[in-house]
Amino acid sequence: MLGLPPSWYKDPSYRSRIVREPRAVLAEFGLELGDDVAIRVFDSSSEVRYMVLPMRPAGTDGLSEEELAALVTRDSMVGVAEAAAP
Amino acid sequence: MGGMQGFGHVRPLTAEPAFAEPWEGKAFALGLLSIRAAGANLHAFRHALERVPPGEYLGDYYDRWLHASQILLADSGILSAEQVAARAARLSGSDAAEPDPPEPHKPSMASGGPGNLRTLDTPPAFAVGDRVRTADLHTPGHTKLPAYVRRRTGTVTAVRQAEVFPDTAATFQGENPQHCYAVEFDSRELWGPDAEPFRLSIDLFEPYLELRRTAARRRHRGHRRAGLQGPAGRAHRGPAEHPGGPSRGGVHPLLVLSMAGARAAAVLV
Repeated sequence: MLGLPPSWYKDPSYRSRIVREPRAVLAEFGLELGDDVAIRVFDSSSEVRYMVLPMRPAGTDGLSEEELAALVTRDSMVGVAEAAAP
Repeated sequence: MGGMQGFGHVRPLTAEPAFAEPWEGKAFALGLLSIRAAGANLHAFRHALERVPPGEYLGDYYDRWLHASQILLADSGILSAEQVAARAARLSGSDAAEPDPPEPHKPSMASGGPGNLRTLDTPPAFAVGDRVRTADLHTPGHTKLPAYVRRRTGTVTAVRQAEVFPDTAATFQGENPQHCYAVEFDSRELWGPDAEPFRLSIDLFEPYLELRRTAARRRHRGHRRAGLQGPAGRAHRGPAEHPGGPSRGGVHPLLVLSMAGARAAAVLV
């Protein structure tokens, strides 16, 4: 992660469980994913850095780039939350 | 600690700020400074973190950083455990005498350049689509092969740019750059048949891997090289030729998460 990670990201409960039961962990974070959503976990173990692109929320068709950017949260870029609703 | 059980529920996402107490910020700064003062590198700092005794390791995150800083500084003869104990006693009101500092003996490992990305003349041993098995590694030193992916079979999904090998750099035995691969595992290969269904991708260095089965299209190219099916194929594919390979600067612009059509969610660790 670029910059200082939030405290939950460093917690043993997150680090131990997200690679083993990501769906359960995401549900505890309040992100309930349907069975039709496949989950990919990326353990960043080298110099490679990943960018998670959050899904564009519904009802944002007319929004400007600035307005859309305001919906992107740090947590949504870690992949543990969806982008904010407009 | 990937896969360890018993840590309970995750903290709520609202658990902020990054430094809950002012001393945590100081510990963070001391950690980074200790790397420079000890003449070490980030790999050595990670190795020091791993040598923090388990009881302390699982305690407070920044307490772990302080322990690691002290280990690193002691390794290089910058600060002794006796000095730290004496200073702590004095700060608690005792008039304990402070011993003299030890004789510094910083490591001297030449660096072939800034950062950790390197270019290798030797071609990568594996290609996208190859099935690879991870090593049964039990090193007392540092490694970037986590316990939970040892002795597991996965598929190479990208050839990354070569990097300084953390396993040797952490103990100042040289950069020893190695090819690096994104390897994807099925969750059932990692956690058994009752695992949640998902795929896990992790970047692994070439010495951790052995070939199990060459990708089908690579076998095909091998035939072409032998002149069996037309003009000779290219002997090797460089990382840049792989779809999903690295971009300049080591940032992999991976596009994932909940794309409406793909219906996939990506989580970073």
